[in-house]
Amino acid sequence: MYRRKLDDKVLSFGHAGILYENSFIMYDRETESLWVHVTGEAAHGPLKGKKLDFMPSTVTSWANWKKNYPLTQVLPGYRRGGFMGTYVGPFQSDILGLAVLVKLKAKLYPYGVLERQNLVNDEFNDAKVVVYYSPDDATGTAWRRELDGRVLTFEQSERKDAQGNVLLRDRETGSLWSWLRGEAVDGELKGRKLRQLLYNPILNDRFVAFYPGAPIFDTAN
Amino acid sequence: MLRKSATAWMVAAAVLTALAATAAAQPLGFQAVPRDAFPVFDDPKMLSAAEAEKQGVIFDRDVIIGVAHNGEAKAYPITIMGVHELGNDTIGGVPIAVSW
Repeated sequence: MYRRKLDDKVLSFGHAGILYENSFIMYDRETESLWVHVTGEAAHGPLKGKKLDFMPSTVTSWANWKKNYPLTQVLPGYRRGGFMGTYVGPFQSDILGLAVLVKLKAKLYPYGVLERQNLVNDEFNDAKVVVYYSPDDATGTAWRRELDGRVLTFEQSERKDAQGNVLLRDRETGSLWSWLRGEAVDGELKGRKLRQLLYNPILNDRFVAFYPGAPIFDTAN
Repeated sequence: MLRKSATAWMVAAAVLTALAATAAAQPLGFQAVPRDAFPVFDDPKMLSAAEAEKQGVIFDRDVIIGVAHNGEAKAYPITIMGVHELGNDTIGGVPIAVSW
């Protein structure tokens, strides 16, 4: 997901049909520059060298998203069905993980590891991050856990919200948090939001190919 | 008879190779499908959750890409993103490109 505003212009994109390093290239209608998917950078044309800002997003099940954002809208169209529409079952979690980016440096949290420890208070690339994984629908989210200059440490609470979502708690204030929305729903920090990181599900092999040498999370044992 | 068809095959092979070389070459990568082959969406009219379910567009177990910003939330089902591959939309007043 990219922000289309670049400097003072708003670009609109078309599909170039060009395959480059396993990804399709986009073109912008305003200048016909060609844009690379993974980096959001223009590789050719008048805007060559420019980079689009990313917009954070979450891959999850409709059930989970709807519970957390009841006023959400949905893109219409025809269901294709088959593989593309099904959730990620346990047999696939071995080969997938959550790629988390902090200032364009990546770290991989393999789902297989997150199934052993689904809440991680971590630090990489000089940022304190919290990663949460729900095995039910293989959904991972990642947030910066620094707020007002204070570092928060999260744990899973025994509480759930009205929609049945598991809530996290920060040890510093005891506030309760939605891990999908990154927002405190109760306690001293109620209403506050954590900064959302860029994260996306990825095939573990692909992560290693895109980000050679990047760290991969594992539990101590 | 055999010689004639052998020559015809060689000519055909040469022409196809030349065509492939010119058609496929790009400043980067190669032309895998025609430009604009995928129907990219622009500022689509969205459905409410209730409408989408009623129309059978979405089911609980479907995977979606969700984005929430400035008080607005939108879900892009990956089944439907498989058709479009790319789209231009806005979220919370911010113009975005949605890709799969």
